[in-house]
Amino acid sequence: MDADLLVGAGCVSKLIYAGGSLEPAFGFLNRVNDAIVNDRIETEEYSGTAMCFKYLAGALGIPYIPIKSLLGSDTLASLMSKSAEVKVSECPFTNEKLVLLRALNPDYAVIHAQRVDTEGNAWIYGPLWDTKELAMAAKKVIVVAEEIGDTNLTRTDPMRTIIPGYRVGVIVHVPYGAHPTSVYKYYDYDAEHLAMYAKATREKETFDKYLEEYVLSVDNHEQYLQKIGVKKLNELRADPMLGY
Amino acid sequence: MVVAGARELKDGETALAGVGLPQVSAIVAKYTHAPSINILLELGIVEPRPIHSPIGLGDPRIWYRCACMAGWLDVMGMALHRGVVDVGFLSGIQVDEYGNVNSTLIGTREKPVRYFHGTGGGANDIASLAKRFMIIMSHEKRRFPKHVDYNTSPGHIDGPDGRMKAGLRPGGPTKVITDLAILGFDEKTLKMKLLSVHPTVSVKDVIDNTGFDLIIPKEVPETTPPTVEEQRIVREIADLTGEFTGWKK
Repeated sequence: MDADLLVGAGCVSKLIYAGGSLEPAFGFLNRVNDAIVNDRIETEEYSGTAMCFKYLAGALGIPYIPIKSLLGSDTLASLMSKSAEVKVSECPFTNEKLVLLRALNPDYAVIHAQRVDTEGNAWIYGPLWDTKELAMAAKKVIVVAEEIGDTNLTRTDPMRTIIPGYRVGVIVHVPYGAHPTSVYKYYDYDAEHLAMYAKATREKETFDKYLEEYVLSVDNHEQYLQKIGVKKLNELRADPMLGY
Repeated sequence: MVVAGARELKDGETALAGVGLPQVSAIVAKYTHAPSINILLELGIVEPRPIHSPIGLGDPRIWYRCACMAGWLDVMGMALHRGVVDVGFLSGIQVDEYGNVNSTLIGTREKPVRYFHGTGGGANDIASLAKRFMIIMSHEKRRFPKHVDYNTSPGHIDGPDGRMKAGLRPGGPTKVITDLAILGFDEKTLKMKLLSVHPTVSVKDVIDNTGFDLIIPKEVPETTPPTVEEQRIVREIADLTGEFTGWKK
């Protein structure tokens, strides 16, 4: 949804990603798709694992990394036709075909965490996607957190720390910051709001109305949450046993 | 359809299920004939035991009581890329006679008419790296063309040595499960072949809804219908709202 919002709002000139959707229930990233079909943004599309490997190479400080996906597909053909930094090569040891992916080191990584302490140590719960690789590859990490806490608590349970503070540049306290999507063990996704967004994003006019109402006309996050309402936010709070 | 898909997953296997119908089938398999199936989800979930219907892979309902919560690299790198995933399970917009799957676009690469899921996360990886994979989707002529508009996730590509020439590991699709039939791939040519038709569906229905010449054997059996228990699992756990299977309609 964040990619769709940013592209729809005209903030993106190039998207390097592995496709996606708003999940089957809510449909497609219509603003992204519209921009691609109408040539308004450049894209480089990789498979999910290729993206993860690119971040991994970036995180390790190696210039490229081999992968056995993408071979024989139009996904690879597209990348090569756009002169993306991708090569097909032979392994110097086994002679098998390999796709070589250039490392990716973003200028910024924006990471959502359940809890971060005042020294930047970030606890992230739930499946990690490629969050850790992205954070370690980025030149600057911004952690957006549900809570900011004391480092003494962190140090009683350091196994929960996914991104250590010395790699974090900025921390921001944004409770319910992921709304309408979920934060594991904190709050569920807001199905009504997502359905509303999914409907709005189908056409530019309705998307622009959504953007105005929920993004541009609010001065800060608190005003956004006031539009959602305390009743709804309470309903979304996760059950501690279920995590949602 | 999801039950037919579930039945193709064998007990004890390591299965990587994609978003949508595949994840529903995997849940059904786990709670019926394949209790020791190990379900992996691309975002980093190992062996979940959901009790509420998820709407997608990002829904925490499908992470419930998993054995291990790791990351993309652990599942798609150290399991799938490593070569220990027995079966992958995908859906898509189109599939062609060699089992190549399109989740990206309709039109051409240079001039797409409509965009869908793009690479759709781990689909290409699953098709490239699982020991075998299965495809589940609804059976319509425009979705079963002779050649997909865009080969997002390669199946047998263009024949028996297609994958080898491309440099892919052996594997590829073995079954296609639709709302009309169960299909496989001919041993020699690797072209799609009809295996069984679902109850109330005729062979002609299947041919009429396929955009290429399907291999039809002399005798086409009927797919065994879902049992009461399988239907119960679909309705109570895997797809409570009927959003994936439409059972509420």
